[in-house]
Amino acid sequence: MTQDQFAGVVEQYERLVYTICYQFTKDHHLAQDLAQDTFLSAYTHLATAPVDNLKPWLARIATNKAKDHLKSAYNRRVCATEDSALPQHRPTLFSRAEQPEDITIARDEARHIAGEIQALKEPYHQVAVLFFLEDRSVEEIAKQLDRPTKTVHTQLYRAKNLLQTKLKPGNTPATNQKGGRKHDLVP
Amino acid sequence: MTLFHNDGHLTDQGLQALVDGLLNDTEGLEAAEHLSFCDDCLLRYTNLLEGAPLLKPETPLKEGVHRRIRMRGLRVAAGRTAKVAAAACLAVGLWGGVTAGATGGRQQDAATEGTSISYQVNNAVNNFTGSLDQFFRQFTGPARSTESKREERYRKQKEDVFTNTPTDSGGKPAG
Repeated sequence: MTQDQFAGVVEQYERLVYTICYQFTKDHHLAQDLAQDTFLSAYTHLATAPVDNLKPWLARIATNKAKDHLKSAYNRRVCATEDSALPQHRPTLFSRAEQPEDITIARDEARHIAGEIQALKEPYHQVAVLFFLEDRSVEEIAKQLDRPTKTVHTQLYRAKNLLQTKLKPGNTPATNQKGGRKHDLVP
Repeated sequence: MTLFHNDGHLTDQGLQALVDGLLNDTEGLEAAEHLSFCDDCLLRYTNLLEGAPLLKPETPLKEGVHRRIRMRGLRVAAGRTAKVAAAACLAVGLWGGVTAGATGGRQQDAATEGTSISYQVNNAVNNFTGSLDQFFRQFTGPARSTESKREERYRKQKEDVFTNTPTDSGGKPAG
């Protein structure tokens, strides 16, 4: 594709690309910036462009640019916790049963946690169930759900944050029964 | 409003909300992440956009895009020049070390040997900065400030010190 032809592509699709960027960012300046980035990226990857079907290709690049922008804004908004990595070791749900009473409390908490995991909405529900309840690896989950591994990592990270908020001390049955005591069933 | 079906795909309601600008930041991010890998939902989204009024950018994108393409070209060219110059410096430095070793048996004091290698490295660095300066001058325009002309005179004087210094066949300053 020549420079002139590419200029024609820009003119033909600038409204589409700009509209996509604006729908995600709701800011005209940002949309303008991201739209220009989209066409720059398209220019540098012209060799792989499907020349007979540019519209979805450009739409995907624009969506990815918007996604990157929103993701960095999201990460700035959400404070990283100390334990921001995925748990390397998933403790068993009954790791510290000392007395029959503890076993009962542990079971109640486990049921509560499992219930919170099941209550998560998509796009976090399936990845959280497969990871936390069925003990699958990230790669297995990515393959089963046909999602990129990186996306699964991101969604698990957010699922964990959502669960941590819901399972804060004071929100679990055990802490409601026995003032403040909790088992570290979920990191 | 439900953004995703249980199978993880975007609902029609969710896509319409995206088109209407009704998603919050987190929902927008979730939708964008899904559209980044799901061809089916992306096709549904672009089909939906065909029926919707498209926005016109405040200023046409063509000029801004071309400016970015030019700047990217400059950055790439400068990066390549730097890599070539770094490789040249390394090669000169190694060659200097090899020639110093090849003359082995001759008694050389440490100062003379160091000057030989540093002279050649210095020469290579000056050549590199000169060619890089010349390269950028093509794009930044012919007008040069008085200060930059002074710097150029200084650089040429420095070069003359080395190029006009009599040397022996090994490239080292004689005497």
